[in-house]
Amino acid sequence: MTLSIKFCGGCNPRIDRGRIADQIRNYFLKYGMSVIFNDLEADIILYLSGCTANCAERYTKCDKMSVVIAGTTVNAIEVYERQLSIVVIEKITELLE
Amino acid sequence: MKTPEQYEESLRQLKLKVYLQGELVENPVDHPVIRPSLNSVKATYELAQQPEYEDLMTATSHLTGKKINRFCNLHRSTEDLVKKVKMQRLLGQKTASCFQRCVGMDAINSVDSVTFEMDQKLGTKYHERFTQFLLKIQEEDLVVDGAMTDPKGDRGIAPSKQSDPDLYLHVVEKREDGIVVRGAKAHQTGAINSHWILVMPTISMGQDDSDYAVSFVTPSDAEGIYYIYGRQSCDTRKLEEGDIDVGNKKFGGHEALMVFDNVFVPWENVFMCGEYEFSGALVERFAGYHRQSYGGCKVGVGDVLIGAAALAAEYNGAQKASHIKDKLIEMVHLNETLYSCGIACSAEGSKTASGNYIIDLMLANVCKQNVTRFPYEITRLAEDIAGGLMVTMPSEKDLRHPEIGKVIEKYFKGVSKVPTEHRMRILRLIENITLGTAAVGYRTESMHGAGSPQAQRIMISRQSNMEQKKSLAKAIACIPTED
Repeated sequence: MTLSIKFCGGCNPRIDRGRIADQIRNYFLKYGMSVIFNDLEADIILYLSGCTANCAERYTKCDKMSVVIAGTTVNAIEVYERQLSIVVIEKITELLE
Repeated sequence: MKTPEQYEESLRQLKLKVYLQGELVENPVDHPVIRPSLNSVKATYELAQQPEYEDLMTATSHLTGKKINRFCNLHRSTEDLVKKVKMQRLLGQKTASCFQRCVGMDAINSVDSVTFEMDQKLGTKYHERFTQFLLKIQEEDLVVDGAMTDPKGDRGIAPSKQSDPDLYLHVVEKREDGIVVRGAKAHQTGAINSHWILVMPTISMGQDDSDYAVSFVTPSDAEGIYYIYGRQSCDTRKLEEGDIDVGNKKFGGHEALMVFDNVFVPWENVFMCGEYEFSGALVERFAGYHRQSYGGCKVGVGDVLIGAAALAAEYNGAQKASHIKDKLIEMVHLNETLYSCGIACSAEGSKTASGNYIIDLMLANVCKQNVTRFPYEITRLAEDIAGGLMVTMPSEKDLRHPEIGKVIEKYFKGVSKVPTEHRMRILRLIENITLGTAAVGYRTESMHGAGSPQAQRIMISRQSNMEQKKSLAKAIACIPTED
């Protein structure tokens, strides 16, 4: 299984996208998943935008399974920044099951 | 795409003739006054290599389908226009300087649509030539300097009527294999960090001035071109040891006078030669794109300045004061207003006949008109928060002195947990942006870059659709329309 982390361009991030991406990537690598960046040829897409403008997903047309981080929201639900990685890992795990 | 190292190496291969402080510079790449400006352009290559910035820093070429640096991209959608502004904000944040590469991007976009329309109406072959040049810069990831502004001499008379005909760049000879041009382009941002120069006319030309209606590209180190580097406030601090007093050690911008001393340009590099009726469109579109740009780049620098002002307040222990909070709010409000204008003119963009997208001209001019004002207020507020120490504190050399250094640390400490050196560093950064080398880019360039304030007011007036507004008022006031 392949997870792709699709970044926004980072023009004005409210969250530390790089750190969050590293945490999620490192978690799924341990379980044998392949993790790539900015490529829609994957089984699951994690859209990782630094703010609610959600540019990572906004301009993308793709019908793959996905989870969306837009600032401090996951799938449009507000989450504390320190919990973003944990919530996203749970959501991706649910999609895999 | 080039790596940043490949970009730097490519500049070392150029044989540029650069004068700075009365001397011919042997090695512009490593010259301490010039080097920060190179680092800023290099950042456009660095960030393009990083996945977390790829979406803004890169685009897909409509010519080849390959990934290219966005600075070499023709905008093919409003999404491209919006991402351009966001990219510029990002680079402003990362460098706190004028990163210079946008002038070329704005030039290629305006030349693309104008050459297309020229060919359609006049049967010329300029667009095909331009497209070949565009392919080259995309494939090789090159930096283009967009050269528009002539020295202009007596602003009250036309180019061909000037006492010195070279005060506007013009064609002096037409040959079978090309043209020879003479003149100069002033205020050339980033010229010495560029591979190619894309020349455009600076005003709309008439028939008498058809020799001045010229657009072409030439290598930046072509025979006959030389540069005279522009002074900047506090520039010689870059020659000193240490890194505190310059405020921003790594990044900077530059402008230069670019002199064309009978420079030969082969026809394949010529995109306009005498077609004066299209000179106005080229000026207007380049100005429009460049006025859009300021809604990105100056906002990014503004972000850094606001952050520095907030830190200065914290280091002073003043961050809870209501007037400090309000001043920071005002700075953010002004900064985001500029950004709003940049986004608005992009989102309202439209497709030209060539297929490339242009910004909404009215909103781009509104954007720039605001940029001529708001950075001045933002800097005023930053200086207010920073306090007078910003311009009176001793040098880094004094701070490092074995005896008086301790005195400086003692008397210039703010809150106890913050080292005095940090306080000095942040104040020097504010000084750099408000009245040091970066003030060139953040203040005076905000005023005059992409056109002085009156230029935007003329465009705003032209685009104002006043008759429609009058008819709206008549309708509401029940005044007959034939009145």
